[in-house]
Amino acid sequence: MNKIGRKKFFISLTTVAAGFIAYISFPFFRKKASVPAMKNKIEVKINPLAVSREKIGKKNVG
Amino acid sequence: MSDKKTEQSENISAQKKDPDYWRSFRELYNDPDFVKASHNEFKEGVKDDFNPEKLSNLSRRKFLALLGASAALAGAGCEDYRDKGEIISYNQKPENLTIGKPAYYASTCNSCPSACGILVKTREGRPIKIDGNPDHPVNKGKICAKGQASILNLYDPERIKEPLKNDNGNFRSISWDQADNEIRKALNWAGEKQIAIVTHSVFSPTQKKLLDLFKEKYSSARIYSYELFDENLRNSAWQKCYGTDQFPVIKWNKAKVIVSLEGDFLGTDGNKIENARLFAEGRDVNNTKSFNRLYVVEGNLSLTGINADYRLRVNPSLMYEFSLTILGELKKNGLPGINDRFSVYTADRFNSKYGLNKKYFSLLIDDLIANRGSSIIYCGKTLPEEVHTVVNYLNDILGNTDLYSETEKPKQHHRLADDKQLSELVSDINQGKVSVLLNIGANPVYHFPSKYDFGKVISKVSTVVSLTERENETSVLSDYVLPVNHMLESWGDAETREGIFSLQQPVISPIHNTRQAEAILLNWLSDESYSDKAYHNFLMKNWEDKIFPTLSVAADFSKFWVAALHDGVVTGKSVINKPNPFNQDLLFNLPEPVQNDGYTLVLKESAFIGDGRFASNGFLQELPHPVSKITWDNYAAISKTTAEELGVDNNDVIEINSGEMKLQIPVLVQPGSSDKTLTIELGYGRTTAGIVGTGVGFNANKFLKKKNQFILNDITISRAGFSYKLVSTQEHYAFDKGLTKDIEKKRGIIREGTLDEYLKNPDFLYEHGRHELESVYNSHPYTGVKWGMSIDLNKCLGCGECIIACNVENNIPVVGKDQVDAGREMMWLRIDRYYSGSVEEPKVSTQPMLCQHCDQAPCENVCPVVATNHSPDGLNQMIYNRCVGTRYCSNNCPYKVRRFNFFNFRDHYRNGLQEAEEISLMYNPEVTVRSRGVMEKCTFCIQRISEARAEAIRENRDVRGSDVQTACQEACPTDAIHFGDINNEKEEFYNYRNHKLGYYVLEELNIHPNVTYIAKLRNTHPEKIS
Repeated sequence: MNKIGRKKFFISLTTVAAGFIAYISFPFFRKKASVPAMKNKIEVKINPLAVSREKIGKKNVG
Repeated sequence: MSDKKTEQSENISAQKKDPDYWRSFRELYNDPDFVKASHNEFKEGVKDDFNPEKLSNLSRRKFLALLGASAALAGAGCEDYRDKGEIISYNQKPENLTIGKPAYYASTCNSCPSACGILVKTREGRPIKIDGNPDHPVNKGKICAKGQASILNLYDPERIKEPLKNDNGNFRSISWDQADNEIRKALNWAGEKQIAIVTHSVFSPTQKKLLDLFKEKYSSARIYSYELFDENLRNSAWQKCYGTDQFPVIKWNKAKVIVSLEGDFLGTDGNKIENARLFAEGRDVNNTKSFNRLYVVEGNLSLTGINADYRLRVNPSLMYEFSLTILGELKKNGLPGINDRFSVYTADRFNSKYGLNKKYFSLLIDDLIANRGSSIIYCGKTLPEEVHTVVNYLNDILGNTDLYSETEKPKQHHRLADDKQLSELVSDINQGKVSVLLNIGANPVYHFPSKYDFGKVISKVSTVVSLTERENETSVLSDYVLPVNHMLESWGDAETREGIFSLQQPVISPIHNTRQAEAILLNWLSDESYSDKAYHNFLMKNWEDKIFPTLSVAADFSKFWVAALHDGVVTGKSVINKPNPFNQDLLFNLPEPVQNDGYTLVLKESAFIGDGRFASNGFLQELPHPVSKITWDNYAAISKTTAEELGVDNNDVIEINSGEMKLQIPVLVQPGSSDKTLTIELGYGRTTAGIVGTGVGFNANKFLKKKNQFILNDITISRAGFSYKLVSTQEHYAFDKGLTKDIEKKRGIIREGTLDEYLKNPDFLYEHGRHELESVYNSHPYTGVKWGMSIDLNKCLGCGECIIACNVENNIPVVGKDQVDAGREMMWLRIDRYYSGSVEEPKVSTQPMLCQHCDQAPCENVCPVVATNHSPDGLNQMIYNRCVGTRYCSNNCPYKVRRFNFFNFRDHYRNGLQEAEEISLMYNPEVTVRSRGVMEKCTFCIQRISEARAEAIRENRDVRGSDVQTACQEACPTDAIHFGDINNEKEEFYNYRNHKLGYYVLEELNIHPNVTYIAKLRNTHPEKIS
């Protein structure tokens, strides 16, 4: 089996690394910035004063 | 359309005794393009973007290289996969919340003035579905399409998220404190100058109290409560006729004969959910004695019109003379007490002037006389006041007033503004008498009559403040835009019927930096700093002081409050004053009818987006119109004769001129339209309605010259000389005309008869026997539960509420107009609409069509990867991650109910709008969100079946058919859909499954569908009218 040259190995490694960095930093999804709040992180909070119930349950009043 | 086609149509009608169903003119006239297209299984263009030829000339070496590179990139790219989710358990679990189990909250919908009671389903704190509150006495567990689709408004990524201030045309974010301080100053500086509050209907007693307090503090404040479509004309006529302020509630279920004059009481005329339920009680095949008979007299085919037993085409501008003609004919037929002056209005006279189907009209008169006391004549809310007066009189002399409810009375907390009040507002602004204009959820620039030119007028007000969820035509002209909570984030209450109080509670804390509109006003009244709980406390206090004492409740208020929030609705007493006798003097002041030979423009409320408030809701924009099946547009609906007169056809653009106003709008030739009548739905043509609603359709509001004038006669029409494509789902899935000419008739897709036929021979549907075919497959023994559905076509109105319920429940994406045009709409449930009879006076049949879950499903046999297969309980199921997207199953499905994801529509539609973080909160976690390349279809709500099964196991019993309600079934306002166990004789569903009127669509294919349709019975007179 042919051994890969030390120089060729590092060139390949550097090329792959450069390619990967280029890929992850390329703005493939920049267009989505046109939709407002795409990046918003939403926090869901339940209102503690609301009263939950069963879907079908007995009425409490009347 | 040519004369040849007209002749062809007449020949077709003349030759046929039985109905020949057709879906569009192109189908009726065998349009070559339609015929050519129908030889293809799918619509032209459906496979665009997927041309395999473009993938040719790929060498083996290149293919492998690409494969390797793709794998490497995919490996690297997956670290940020779009569906990456985080599952983190609660450190502190909220009370009453079980992970994986939904919690329900009763609340009140404020999508329209009906203010129905709702039940909101939440999962882990996220509201995911809105249904009706079964305990609410008016809507009884059902809710309309708008109410259901308003869940999308909560998660709309385009909601305004913080207060904005207009800085010379640029809006910049400001803090709530800054906004409050600056607006408080403006209010205080108003002094003697008017503070105008423009809002929609006030149906909340607590909001009314708040507005009263506001007027106490700011004595120059005036409230202008308005609706684009209101009941003012009806109520005003009622007031004059009987002296009481509100038109009563009609007991539709007690009516044997219903006559509707330009009234869409099953559609856009308001209170549709209750009306539909009560009407459908008179369409019960298990109680044929209660069958009602519906006459509809209208200019354009409405949802009510398509459900008519008899329908008369009358130009709406002639409805006044038509109502007088009913009066004249009743007198002629001996009905006592009618003044002689009405004798001149005869059917012959009307016929000679305008044309009339005299046979139907004479049946109508006979029925009214024969059913005195148990019939009702209903007048559409857009008709002039004098028609309402005549209709009130007709009901009075026929003794039909017993059909007005004695127990329920509509309640209006603030009288809606009429044209006079709006004129005063505009005049005051022009004279510089208005200092502050507060728009609370209102959009007057879009809604107010064109003569006011409110967009310009508004600039004369020093401080304009809009309290709104999202940008609109008024907010962009405002000085301050304050974002308000969605109804699911708000406290509130409603009393739309006297003594019926419903509560609104926030089922989620505000998602953005928004405040409740009422809380904002309350804060301006107070000197204290803002508190989230302030309006909640105000609401509680008002209930404790004003409402609680009127109820006979033994418990103390704090207990009552929690119980009332739990129930969502409490009922007290309603005092209904007996109306005075009919004011006969009115009859002598009635105007003479005006002759109209020209064109009439009729403006109507949109079937789904209302007055335009829901224009930014993709679910509603994409929902096909119940009659025309057009999506994403409005149009001018005209008759075939009128189209020929104007020399136009579908999609041709016409220019309508009325005074200084003109509008270019495409034409839709609508069977059943009266001649010389153009009908346009309002709510479209919004200029500021976000990425979804802006620019959809055409704004005909400009023809509203004054409030409540929806019928115009001073119009001229010309051809614009170009066309605009309207997209309809009507012809989708029509295929292979050559083999299946008259497929609907020959193959019994639609089966119907008359009530009389059924009573004489209950087996009439199977007079010629059933299809008994041998199968090459052994039938599978289903020993346990086997799921099935029945759809009663007598009760199905074709309203489309079920479609929205299905969309929300099953995470079905909106795809946009271009994709609907390519036949790629994703709705699992569609409502097919067939015409029969003549173009001028068609009969209409509707049929919900969904996966039939066939026992011998043809889709299953052809799937190369067994992605679609059968469950032991009879479901035809999909395994999404096994599907490779061959679409063989769709090709082989005779019902064309399978939907293919040609794109990842979350990403594709409107620049990735549906991939926004907020939208993903709306998804039902029990239903997989499908991506590109996957086939999908109705699952019979398998997630609900699984939930019921888990519950049954927990209770150590077998699951029962009645344990499960599908989303469409739950939403159907008329209970036309039943679901259950085919094998369980004790269930209600079993009776429908084995009903004498039950049939399977395409039964002869021997694929054993599990959806049973109950054939429609028309309650026509015994002689058959074809």
